This record gives sequence, structure tokens and C-alpha cells, in this order.
Amino acid sequence: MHDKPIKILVVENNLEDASLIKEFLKEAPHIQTDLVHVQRLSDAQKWLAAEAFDLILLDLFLPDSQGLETMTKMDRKAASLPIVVLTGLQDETIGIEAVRRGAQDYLSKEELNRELLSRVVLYAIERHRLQAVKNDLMAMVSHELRTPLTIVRESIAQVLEGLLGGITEEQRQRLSTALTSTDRLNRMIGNLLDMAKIEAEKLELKKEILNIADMAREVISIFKTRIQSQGLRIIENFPNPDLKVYADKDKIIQVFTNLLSNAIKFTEKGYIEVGVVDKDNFTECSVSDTGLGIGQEYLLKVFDKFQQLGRASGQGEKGTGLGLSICKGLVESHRGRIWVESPPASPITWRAGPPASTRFTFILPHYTPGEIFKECITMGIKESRRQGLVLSILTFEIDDFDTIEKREGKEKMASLLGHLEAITQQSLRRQSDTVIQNSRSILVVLPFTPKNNALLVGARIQHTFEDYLSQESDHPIKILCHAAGYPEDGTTEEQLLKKVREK
Amino acid sequence: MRKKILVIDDEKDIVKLLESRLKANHYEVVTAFDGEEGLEKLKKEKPDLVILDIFMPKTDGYTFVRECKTIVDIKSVPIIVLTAKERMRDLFKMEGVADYILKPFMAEELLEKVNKHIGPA
Repeated sequence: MHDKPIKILVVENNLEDASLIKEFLKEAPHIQTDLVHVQRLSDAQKWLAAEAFDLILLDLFLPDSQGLETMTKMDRKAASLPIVVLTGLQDETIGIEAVRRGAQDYLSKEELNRELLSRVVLYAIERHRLQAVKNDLMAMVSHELRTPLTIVRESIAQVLEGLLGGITEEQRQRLSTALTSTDRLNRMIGNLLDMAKIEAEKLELKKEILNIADMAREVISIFKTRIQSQGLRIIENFPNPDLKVYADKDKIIQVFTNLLSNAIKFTEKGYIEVGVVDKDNFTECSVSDTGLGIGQEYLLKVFDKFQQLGRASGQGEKGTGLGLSICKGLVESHRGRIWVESPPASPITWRAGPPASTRFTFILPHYTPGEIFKECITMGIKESRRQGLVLSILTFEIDDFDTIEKREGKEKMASLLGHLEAITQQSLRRQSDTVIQNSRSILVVLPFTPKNNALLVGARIQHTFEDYLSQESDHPIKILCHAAGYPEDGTTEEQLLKKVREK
Repeated sequence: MRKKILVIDDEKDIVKLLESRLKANHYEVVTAFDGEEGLEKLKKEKPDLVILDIFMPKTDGYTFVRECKTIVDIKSVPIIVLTAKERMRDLFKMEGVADYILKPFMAEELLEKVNKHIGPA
């Protein structure tokens, strides 16, 4: 079946298991294999970076990584490779969960034999190939459809708007119908493309620090006319209007848009409530409505593709059957979770009107400033490498922080840092620049900026702030500014961070 | 004098539609069907704005952008890229492209972006 030997990376901590696999594969029917065996995740990653493999056989419990996390970490480096997970006899559930998260198959180590191993390897490669073909096809078709669709849409629009002369009322109506359908077709293509990207794990998030309530409001304002014309009320429940999340703006707006348009579609009277609430480890967003509920038997299916069941068909523009599966994909790519309740377990304590019948909730994880800084640098380096450009990072610290804090008090220090952040934000206007406030420093990522420019910017911010400080405090306070540049100071996030930490 | 827009796309139908839409809004329009022809027209016609497709035979949109930045008296002409690829917007943020429009475009969006960069005709 295969002309060349199948190149397999065996990631297995247990030497006995590994040599058993080697023996079996050597004599396995129908396949010829070429094995590389490593014991640690870090070694696996090195091999993957250096050589091309056809398949990974992966034990989830390694000295440097434990459990399903191993797969996620591996996945990032090897998203385009089929993975077969090796499990013990007892932990079959973990194997099933691994498959759910994208592994092609799992193998219980106690049950290994030549025939089984050969079949699993062949099937995993073939199944993975078919998935890739399907995703490529979907993406390609969606792209190719855009140009003819543009021509159709704009031609209809021009005749409809009378650019080419007057038309009759009947002609106008017919063309309006054609235009509505063209727009629907366009939405479907957009959704198919999104879905293909999510399934191929090729979705690239452009995360930034966002005010989540502002985003919810932005989406509500798009739907305002429609909500009012249907006689519905909209309730905003944003107890903390300054709440920030670290997420991709377009994607979160898309999630809110899909949930809200869904709620409007199925609600004839009453209200729609949009909530954004801060919890201990995550931010919780919800869209509730008083429309038709969802039958219990459909609750688990609403996020599946092409499922337009569960709620009697609503009014307004026709759906594509992909909206909620895209929501799920987008939320999960942010390492969040989405679910639906009908009726909600804890009805809102809203004073007027009936309790909501349906509530969609999604949660986004919290990030520490340090985590955000690291991720921004990693993403920035990736982008710079792709475009052959540079990147700089800057940090600002208050010199002798502890002594000054003792003298001025905690509150004062927080307000000083707040000011330093504001000044930094004002000096940097590009959207791609990121400014993060940490407990005692300000962290800045400047994509596409050479280090000497970054140093100039840094010095300017330093002066502006020291000017401000000289009016604020009788004692002199000094600001320290450190910079590091890609590629001259390092080519990884760790190296750049090390550089700015060197005093 | 009316403002002049250069439209470059190898899809003749797209060029025709853009032309009639822009003319209906009183802009003067010149057209080209590949990057090479686009560069010639650019030098000769000195347009106020360029609407550019990226994937074209012969000289493509990338080459067009690079080349046109080397021509002294027209390097500041705003270029709006017309593309079906969502990722282009990141790529072009930095490369001397003023704006982008995703296919299928809506006429309102197109006119709004043109207006933003050079004002009404």
C-alpha cells in the first residue's frame, strides 16, 4: 500500500513497552515502518521540528508532561500529523477523550498485537488524510466561490438601485429576493470557511486585551432596530463595565452576533438579556431569551453541524445551520466552554416579566499579565518571522519599588502605575502595539519596530512620566526602561524575556 | 477636477462593475487587467487612488505594490486591496497599503473606503 516506509515517532516513557511496539511493528503485516523512539515530550518536539513524520504513537504519561495535556502540547507542534494515543487497560476513558480532542485512535498497551497495530496505523493515516482533503476542499471551494458571487451580487445591486435606468416595481421585488438569497449564500460560504478552518485547527487568533462589555454593546447596537421592530426589550446586565478579557475581537463579536441573532429569531415577545459577569477564574457571558425553549432531547445537539432542529423555525433571515457549531469552535479555540440551558437552572432575578426560557452561556479563561505578555511576544515573533520583519519589547519599572511603596503606600503605587500605563498607551497609537499593566511594571510589545526606535519611544515615555512625577511627589522617583529586540537579542520568547530581565 | 481612480483586476466583470459603480458616484475611472498594465497606467494617468486585486497573472498585486513604491512622484497614492483572503488584512497593514476590501464587497463599503481616503469625487 505504501511505497516508502511509514515514518513513526514513538513517544513512550516505558522502555519495555517501547521495545514491544518496535518488535510488533517490525513484523506487522502489510506495512513497512521506520521508527524513532523518544522518552520525553521535549525530545519529541525536537524531532518533530527537525524531521517529517507520518504518524505519532503517543503515551500520554511522560516524565515532562502528564495526561491529556500532553496531546494538546504535542498537537500545537504537530497539528498536521495523525496521532494514536497509547493507554493502559484501565484508562480507556482517557483514550476516548483523546480521540474526541483530535487523536485518530487509541490503543490499549495490554492488548497490542501485530495485526492490530498494523491496522490502526494504516487506518489512522488514511482517516487523517481524508479529513485534510475534506478541509482543503471546503476552504478552496469557499474561496473560489467569492469572485463569481461578488459579480452576481453587485450586478443585481446596480440594476436594483437604478444605476442602469428605471425598473418596474415587480422587477424591483424580484431583484430584492435575488439579492437576499445572494447574501444568504454568502453567509453560508463564510460559515463553511470558518468551520473548515476550525476543524483543520488553522484558526489563527489575534488576541488583544478587550473590554468585553463594550463588545457586547457593539453587537447589541447592530441588532437594535430589529429588536425594537419586533417589540422586544433588550436588557444589559454588565455589573462590571470595565471587565477585560484577552481574546480575538472579531471572533468574540462573531460569537455574540450568532447568539443574539439566534435569540431574536426564536423570540416573539418578552426580552433578550445579555450578561457579562466576572467569576473567580473566568469571565462568563450569556444571552438569554423568553422565546420558544429547546426540547430536552435536542439540548446536546444544538452545537452540532447542520442541526436546525430543537426550536420551531423562527422568523427573519434563514440560518445556515452552522452558527452555533462555529460559536462552539471559536469559544473552544479560546480555551473556553459554551453550553445551553432550557430553561436556565438559575433564572435571572429580573424584576419585571417572565423568567427566560433559554440561556446560552460561554466562559473565557482569565489570564495573568505575565501570561498575556508571553503570548503576545510569541505571536509577534511568529508573525515577524513570517514577514521577515523585526519586533521589540519594552518594560518600565519604578526603581526601588519597595522603599517607595513603604513611603507612599500601596494605593499611591497603584495609581502611579495606572498613570504610567495611560502615558504609554497615549504614546503608542498603532493597533498592533500591546501595553500590559503588571503588579509592579508596564510591559509593552511593539511588532515590526526596530530596537533603536523602541528605545527612543521608551526614553520619551520615561521623560513624560518623570515630568509628571516631579509634580506629584517631593522625592525623586526613577523609572527604569529595558528593551529587547527580535532577532538580535534572541529568537524565542524566553530569550527576549531574559534579556529585559538582565539589569 | 474630478478625482481619478485606477482599477486593476484580471476579472473583467469585476472591473466593469467597479467602473460603473464609481462612475455613478462621479469619479473618473481608468482600468487595467494586470499589474504590468497597471504600472503603466499609474505612471501615465497619475490617479488619486488605486483599487487593486492581488492574484493576477503576469505582475501580481504584491509586485505592483513593491514597484509602485519606487516611483517617486506617485509612491504616496493610496492603494485599496480587493481580496477574498481574510488574512491579507494583516499582511497589508504594514506594507504601504491603505485599506482592504473583502470579496464579495458591498457597494456602500467600497464607496465609504474610497471616500475615506480621497473624499468625494
